[in-house]
Amino acid sequence: MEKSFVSCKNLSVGYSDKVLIKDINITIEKNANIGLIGENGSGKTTLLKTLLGIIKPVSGEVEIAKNNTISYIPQIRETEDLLPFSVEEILEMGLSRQLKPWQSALPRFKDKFDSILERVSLTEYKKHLFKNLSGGQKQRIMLAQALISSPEAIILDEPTQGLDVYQRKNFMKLLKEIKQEKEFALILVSHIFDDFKGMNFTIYRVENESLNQIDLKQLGI
Amino acid sequence: MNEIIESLKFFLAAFYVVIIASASLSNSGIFLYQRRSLFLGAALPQIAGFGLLISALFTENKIITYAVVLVLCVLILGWHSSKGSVRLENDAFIGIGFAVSMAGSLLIMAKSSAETHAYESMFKGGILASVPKDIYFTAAICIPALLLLTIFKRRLLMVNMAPVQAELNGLNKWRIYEYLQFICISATIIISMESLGTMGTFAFLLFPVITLCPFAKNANCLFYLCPLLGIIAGVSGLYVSIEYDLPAGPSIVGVLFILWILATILKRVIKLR
Repeated sequence: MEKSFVSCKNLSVGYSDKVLIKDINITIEKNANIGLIGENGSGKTTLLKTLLGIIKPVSGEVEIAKNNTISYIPQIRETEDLLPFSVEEILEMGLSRQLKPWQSALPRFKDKFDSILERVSLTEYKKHLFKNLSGGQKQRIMLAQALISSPEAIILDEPTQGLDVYQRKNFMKLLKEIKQEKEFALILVSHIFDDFKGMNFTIYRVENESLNQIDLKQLGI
Repeated sequence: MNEIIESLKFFLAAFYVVIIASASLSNSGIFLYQRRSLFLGAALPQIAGFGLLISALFTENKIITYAVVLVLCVLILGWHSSKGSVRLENDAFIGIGFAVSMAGSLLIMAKSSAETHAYESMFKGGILASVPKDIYFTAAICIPALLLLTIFKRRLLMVNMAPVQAELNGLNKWRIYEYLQFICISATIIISMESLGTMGTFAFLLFPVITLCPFAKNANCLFYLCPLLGIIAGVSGLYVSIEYDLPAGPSIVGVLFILWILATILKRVIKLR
């Protein structure tokens, strides 16, 4: 278990009245790149949430490495918020676990904010409103928020959904660079097979209530 | 002039109550707005009023009555936001809550004894009749609720905006922060209803946040500006009500509405420049 971030045996996921995926036996190593594909409604998000301990398994076992920090980047539409959050406030939320409720992240984490924003090439947007950014910029800020807590794993649930082709390419290029610089397990759910290019992903497909490892060539990559 | 000062002194308790309740409700409105549940704020006072009426049939103890209704409101908010398979659409839920509780309240008031008639003021609001006891009662509930929502705001906002990440960070175990919000918001609404009525209560939840959101440089400043705007509107509305002998609730709503209109025009002018 030391080297693995999560492992499961004979796992079935779903809800009490419906099993979505059964007999899952996988181990995700701490520095692995895992890709997850499957049709809408096939149970990918339910599987992720079960692996992360948010949803109880229908049956079987899940073992998650303890005291790990895990970051989750949702689809862009899920980050839409009515309140006018500044970019700094979005980053500060990523430190919620480290900070006491009444503590402010600034000035203590100012340098960290600056270096992370520089890494995602959005330094000049620090004071901007998150909702006024483009889709690609928003996802880069969400990536910065995910990175700020130095996580052992980052889970991206269709992060490029809704982005135009340039924004998508830029985001995936940035993710690839960061993955080369830092050590963390990466789990990427995507319908866009090109997203899996060049990062040595182990791909799993959810199909007919089962999870099967497939070759990148089967996706035409 | 002296006459005005004397009459304002006579209504001093009302001013204190409106200051405390408006600040606390305006603060609660930010969270309801973020959760896209602002219109639940319209149904909730109505439901709470209905609950208070039912409880009044069984007990004369105000604290027990308020506690029962608080639990009812928290359960409604908790059930409404859970992802159960029987989840109703927002609009349907609000409509059912509003219609059933209003009808129920009117039926009870029509057929019940004199005690429940005291609760009629709950729907209209009886702020001008406030006495020092009302100040203490309002302050005892609203100020702790306001402080809790302010102290924990970053975590509460995160739970609302990024629930999965919050859960992964261990910030929402047993939905603790969600229920903290529900308890504070419900308690503020229930306690404010007697003075501000259902209409005034809803107006303070709605107007400050929608008036100030377009001008805010960040979410944090809303937590200072919304209560401030709520207090200004509450005090002005009450003054208008006393000075021109108008009902207090509608006067306060009128001031809030005018401020919102002015803010909308100002925003347009700024945009055109």
